Amino acid sequence: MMGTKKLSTIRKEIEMALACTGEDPIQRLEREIESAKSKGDRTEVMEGLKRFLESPRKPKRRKQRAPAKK
Amino acid sequence: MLIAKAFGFVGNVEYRHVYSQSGGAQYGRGSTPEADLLTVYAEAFVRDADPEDFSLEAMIAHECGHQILARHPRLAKRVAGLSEASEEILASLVGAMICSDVTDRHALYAKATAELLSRGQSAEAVSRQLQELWELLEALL
Repeated sequence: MMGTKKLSTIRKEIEMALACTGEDPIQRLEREIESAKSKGDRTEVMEGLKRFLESPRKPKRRKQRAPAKK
Repeated sequence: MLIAKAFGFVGNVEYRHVYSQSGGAQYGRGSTPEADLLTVYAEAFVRDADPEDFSLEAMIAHECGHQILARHPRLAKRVAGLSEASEEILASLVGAMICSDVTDRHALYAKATAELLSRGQSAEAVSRQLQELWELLEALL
């Protein structure tokens, strides 16, 4: 089930969790990404989260969808 | 229906013009993969139109993630017996894997992150666990 929590609420929850140390959430993720990379660990999930937090509230792009069959 | 098929969904896809408590879409396991059912509800389209919410593609990818978890021979055995909450996290990660749109992929990472955070874990532990799960799923799929 997709669940009823809005993406904007999820964004706020993640920002709050990352900011609990007083650090900026994106800077904290950048630091964690660097630290993981220096150990040779993969970081695509953290990098994806960083991109998610960096690009808030963009207007939704219109997607080309096939028309419904009549 | 085309979106679900593009994500590899096997079975029936139906639209119900009602508001459910599911959040917009729901996977139902049938007796065979062909009898599985993906139901899309009216609120999926309301959410899709909201720039601060999930796209229809992301919602359907998440539900297709449930089917992959339930039907993939190497995953199904491992997933059987997991809590509903854990399965939701994995479905988001698998959904992210099958999404070609990076924005949808990142939204599903975020959904999995929020679900793990709600268990009271630290943000750092959550990031590490999700990365480990991602790599495990990648190896199995």
